[in-house]
Amino acid sequence: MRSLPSTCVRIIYTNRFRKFIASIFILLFLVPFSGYAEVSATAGEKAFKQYCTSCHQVNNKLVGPALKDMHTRRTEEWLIKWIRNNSALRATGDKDALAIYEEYNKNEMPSFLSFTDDDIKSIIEYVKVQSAAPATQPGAAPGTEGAPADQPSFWLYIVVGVLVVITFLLMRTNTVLKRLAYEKIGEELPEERPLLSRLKTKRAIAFYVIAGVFLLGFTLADSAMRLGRSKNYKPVQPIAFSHELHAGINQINCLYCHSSAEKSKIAGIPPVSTCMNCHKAIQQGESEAGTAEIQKIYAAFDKNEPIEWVKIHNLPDHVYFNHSQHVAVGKIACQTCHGPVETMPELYQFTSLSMGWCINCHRQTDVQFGSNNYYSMYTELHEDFKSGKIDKVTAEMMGGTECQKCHY
Amino acid sequence: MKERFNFRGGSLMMLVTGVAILLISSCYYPRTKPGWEYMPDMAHSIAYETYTANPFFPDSINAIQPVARTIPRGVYMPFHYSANISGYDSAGLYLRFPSWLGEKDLEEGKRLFGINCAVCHGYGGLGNGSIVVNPKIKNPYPPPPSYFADNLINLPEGKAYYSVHYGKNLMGAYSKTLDHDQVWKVVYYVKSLQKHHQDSITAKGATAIAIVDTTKK
Repeated sequence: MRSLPSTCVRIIYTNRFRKFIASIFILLFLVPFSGYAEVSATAGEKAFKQYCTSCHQVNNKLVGPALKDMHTRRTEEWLIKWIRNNSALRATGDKDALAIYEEYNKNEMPSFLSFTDDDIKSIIEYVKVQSAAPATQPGAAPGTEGAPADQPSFWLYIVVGVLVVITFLLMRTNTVLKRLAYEKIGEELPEERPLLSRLKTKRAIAFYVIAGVFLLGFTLADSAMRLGRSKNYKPVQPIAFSHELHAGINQINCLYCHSSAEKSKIAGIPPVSTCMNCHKAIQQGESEAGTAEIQKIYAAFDKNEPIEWVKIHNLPDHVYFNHSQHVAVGKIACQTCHGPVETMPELYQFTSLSMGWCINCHRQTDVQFGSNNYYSMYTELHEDFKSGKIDKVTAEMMGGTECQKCHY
Repeated sequence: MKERFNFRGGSLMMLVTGVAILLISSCYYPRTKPGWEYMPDMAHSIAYETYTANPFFPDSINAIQPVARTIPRGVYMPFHYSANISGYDSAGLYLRFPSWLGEKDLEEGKRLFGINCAVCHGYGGLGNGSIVVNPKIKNPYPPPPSYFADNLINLPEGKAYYSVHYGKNLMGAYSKTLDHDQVWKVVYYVKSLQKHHQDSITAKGATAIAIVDTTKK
């Protein structure tokens, strides 16, 4: 600063000062004009979200009509009358009012008698501002497009292809170098045997046999171990439903859709009407593909046809398993058996569901014994627990590993 | 010396092995088929299961509705108010909390509220649930009204029950997922939220007045 000439500093100072003064004037000039509309619209937004959004949207038709550009379609006077008491307006024989009433199957809009004219004007103002705003278009959302991460991608094939080409090039180089090396020491290149005869040498045959035994053994052991197991089973579902989006990002509780998990043997697949609880309003997905998937719900709903989801977690018929017993009584989290469902874009079987897996859990898991009235009948165990004879109670101690508990 | 230079046979072997490894590893799981099973005749139910198709019913759906004019055993109770505005109004006039409902049910009501209602209405009932106020989604759900605004704060319990049972406006019907008793517990919890809210307001008002009074003195 000291090296700067004082005039220079002054110029900077005055320029900044002028700009500052000018901006204050501009602000002072603008505030009274912009402020009114702004305040009115924000008051309108609050009222709109409290009273209107449960039936109306600006751009979409929901329970009631879409409100976009309603201020150009109707007069403000009419709108005030309609919003405050639409049945009174209909009683006067107003044609527009009666037409809307008929169009929406005589589904009556509630009256808002307590609204002042200013309240209603602020709502109209808010809708006016919203109508001018561009409609939100569904676009690409992170994580919803592209190939699923766990499938070999296109790029993997390209890399393999390039590696194969490099291998062949290196082999060619090797032969050339070899020839050159032989030329240098002045010896003749050993005669190349034809490919077919080289594949018939004893060493080659021994290699085939060993490789064959290894391959067969591997396949046999692997398939034997997986016989009747379908861990990682991930069938293609009729709708590309993402548990990650619904249970993870949107934090919808598992029991919201699978409500019978705590009431009955089966966790239950939600009926289409459960989807419609939200998708009546959510008509656009996070991407275009998502919107197309949502359309499948409407197709099923309109035709009154069930969506044929593919069941993933299959237990053999000779095994009894009850969801309510584990969820409501045992207070086992869904994720214990089904894995981190809230992170799965496409659902798959997380655990093996083998008998060993069942028994392991019954042997190791600490039953919530003290706080749960369900187990009050096990008096002997309770006494032992209280006297400190045992420090935890497992399902096995209550007969959880007896054959007849699950096989009958 | 001759032998040392003859790498060609070795590299061919390596190539064959490499291709074999690639072939084996290309059989990747996750898979779209459940796989083989041992003794399938005991693994599959002969009886039609809940979600399997049943050729004996005209629409082949096994999970059918109860016969008309019958009710399932258990906690299900018929709801006699019709699904229109007059049913809504008369539910508000005549439907009251059942006598068994009390403070002991608040905890269960809160749990059920958290599962079924909080997604939209928010845990506090302010209309700010995780699908309404969520910066990670582009098309959030339209906000439901707050329980504490003047149009809902004094809502009679009958109207609240009606709204959960049949659904109201955008809200869907919950009579299929919540049974009679569960709906009452949820309504009881919501009414207790509202009462708590009003009590806190009156308490605040009282303290404000008290402060004003002390300053006057």
